[in-house]
Amino acid sequence: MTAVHQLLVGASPGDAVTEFALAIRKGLRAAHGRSEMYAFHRDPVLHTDVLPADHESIGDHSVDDILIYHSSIGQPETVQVLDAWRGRIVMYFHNIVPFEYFYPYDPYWASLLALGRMEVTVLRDRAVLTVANSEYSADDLRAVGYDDIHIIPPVSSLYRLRDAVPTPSTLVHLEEHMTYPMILYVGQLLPQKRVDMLIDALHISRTYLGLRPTLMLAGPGRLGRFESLLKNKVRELALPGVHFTGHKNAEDLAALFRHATFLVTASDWESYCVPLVEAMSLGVPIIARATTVVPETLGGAGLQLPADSGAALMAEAFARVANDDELRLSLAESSTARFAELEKLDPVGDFIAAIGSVQ
Amino acid sequence: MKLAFVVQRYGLEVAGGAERHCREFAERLVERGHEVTVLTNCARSYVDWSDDYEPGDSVVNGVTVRRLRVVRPRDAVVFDDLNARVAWGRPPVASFIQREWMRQQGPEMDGYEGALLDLARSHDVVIFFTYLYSTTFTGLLLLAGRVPTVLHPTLHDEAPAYASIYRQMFRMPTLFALSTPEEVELVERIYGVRPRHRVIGVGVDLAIEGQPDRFRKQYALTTEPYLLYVGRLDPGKGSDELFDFFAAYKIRRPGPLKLVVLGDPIKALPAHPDVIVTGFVDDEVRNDALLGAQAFVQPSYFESFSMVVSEALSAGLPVLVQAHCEVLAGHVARSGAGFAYRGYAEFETAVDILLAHPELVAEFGRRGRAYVEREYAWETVMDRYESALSEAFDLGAEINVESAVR
Repeated sequence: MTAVHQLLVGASPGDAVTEFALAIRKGLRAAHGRSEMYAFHRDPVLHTDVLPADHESIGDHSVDDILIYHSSIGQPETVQVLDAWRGRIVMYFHNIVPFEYFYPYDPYWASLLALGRMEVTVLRDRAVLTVANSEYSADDLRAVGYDDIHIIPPVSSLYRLRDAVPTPSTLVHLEEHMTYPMILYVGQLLPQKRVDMLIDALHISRTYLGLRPTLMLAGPGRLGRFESLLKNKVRELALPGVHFTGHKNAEDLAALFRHATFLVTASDWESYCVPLVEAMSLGVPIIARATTVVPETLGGAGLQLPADSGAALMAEAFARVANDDELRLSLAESSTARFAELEKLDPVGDFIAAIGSVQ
Repeated sequence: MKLAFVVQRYGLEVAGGAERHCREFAERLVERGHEVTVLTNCARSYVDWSDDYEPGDSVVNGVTVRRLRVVRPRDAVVFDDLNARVAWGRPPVASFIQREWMRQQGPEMDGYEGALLDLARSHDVVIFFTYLYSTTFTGLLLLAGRVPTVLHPTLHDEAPAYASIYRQMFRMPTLFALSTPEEVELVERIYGVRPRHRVIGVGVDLAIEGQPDRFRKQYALTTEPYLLYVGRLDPGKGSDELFDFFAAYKIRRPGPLKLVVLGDPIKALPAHPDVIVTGFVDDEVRNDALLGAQAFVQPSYFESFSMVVSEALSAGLPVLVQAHCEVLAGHVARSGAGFAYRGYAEFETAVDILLAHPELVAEFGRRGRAYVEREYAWETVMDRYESALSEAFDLGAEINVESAVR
């Protein structure tokens, strides 16, 4: 029987790519029996579940076996491992952040991102099946010569936050201590996410538009220098109401989403943006800059600002949505309606079916 | 000399210590033969800087007053938030935020810079009053080095004073005119500079005359003793604390004692049967009230001189002052004419002593009079001030004004 394995650069719980790979593995094991996950960097929690990505672990395999490569960043050993793989390769392209965003803060990380783009080009002729997480990402693949690309969003559990019971103490704390509107950002604090623009917009909305908002920045830092820059910016603006929560579990996130007046993203670059889907699953209004994949993920949902909009327009949007009950309600309804469309999709099933087509 | 004053408000109807201080000096310099111009705006209220006076030149008690229109009233929603952030934020707050705070604080005046340059061309010394406002911030930065400048900072140990935007400004004036020895120390402590300065103080009228019975009759008082407070009803001035202390005192010491409050409310006090709030009154009523009081109370945490305390001392009143304010404590320490209290217990004890010991009240009165006669007789103060202005003029002699202001 053909074995179908997966190769990831990094595996950690909560990470969208990892969670989707785990869901695929579950489906593959049910359908085909043999299926493993390999990763170069494994969170200790997953040490027994995800195997190290080396020749010893991957071991013997046949030319009919399939290795799904989840491309999201470069890794110097990737090409060696894939060269040694005698079987077939499926490319799942989650897209790769343009390295320029990282270069000022972490040149090594930036070089890995650049390497990832090169790997995608190198692997083009070996891929028997190509999947992209969005139309936007598919266009990137077409630009380097890929064709016949399947579009499958990496969503394994649409109901993760809807099913989570909000932490009661977090809810009470938010209700008692956070000023209105409570603006929620969920995601890592990375340069391309433009959290700096959110802080600028908060300053403008507070100083000139009469809001007294809270901005919850829910996500880990990852880049110490960039996180310090954000914190210094808040201090220099003497801006009250900005909270860096760090990583939050599903229960705390559920509390944050349920209390939020709206979710916001100013991101310059996204390839799918799971927090948008999570907000829509809970009917939370959304304000977003319509950059890269964001219009595709949102469909008609949310207040979508022009891609070239800046902090001033974002601040106007904060004030408008916070002060206009009717608009907020219609944005919430648009979130719910878009989520109903997403519910009809079956990404894991689609992926397994696509694999079946090349077996 | 030809002297120019720059101040955020000016006029007979303008309440406020620094503004009155400025007007007293301007008028007395005219009496001494100097030519005096005041550059200010049309506002009476610093809360919104709305235009009340007509723009243009007028003469007020011999002083030429040049009023410019305020470009826009202060927007409290914008300013109050920025003020809290700049005053209470963890320093250093970004420079552009501090400048925006200064702009929003105002008063921003139409044609201000041109008017300042005109002053510099035509006057020997330009004198700025009060460190806080954009009149002084903008003006000193523009004129320093172009004409001899004197700054009366009327500095208080208050949160906005610590904004780093002022560090540069406090290095600009040719000479500082300071009110008390405590203010010299405060400038050094906050800005790290011990500038060329003179301690001038503010003169006081030594012949305070009035009819205390007229005041008692007007406010339905018979023979009850009363403590007197003169000033804005403003939590920043300690009026809330004084009310709380007095109300607590009345619970613990029932009796005829009253508290008389002369001043406009920024924040009104709660009603209390033993507290009489008159609102703003003219000098005649104030003098009547002073001469009939048991003691004068100054609860403010933030004073740079406190003219009302020197007037109370001149009227022979013992003073009860806020010990947290170094300037007030300094007056009491130098005069020996009252008590500086720190907290309710000391307030209560001080009032008890004053009510129980009329001979001590009389002794405090004599000491207070002697203190102000020695230090703050107008002739003495104006002699010191003229000498200081001459020094500033001499220090600025090397400035080529003609080329500097072009």
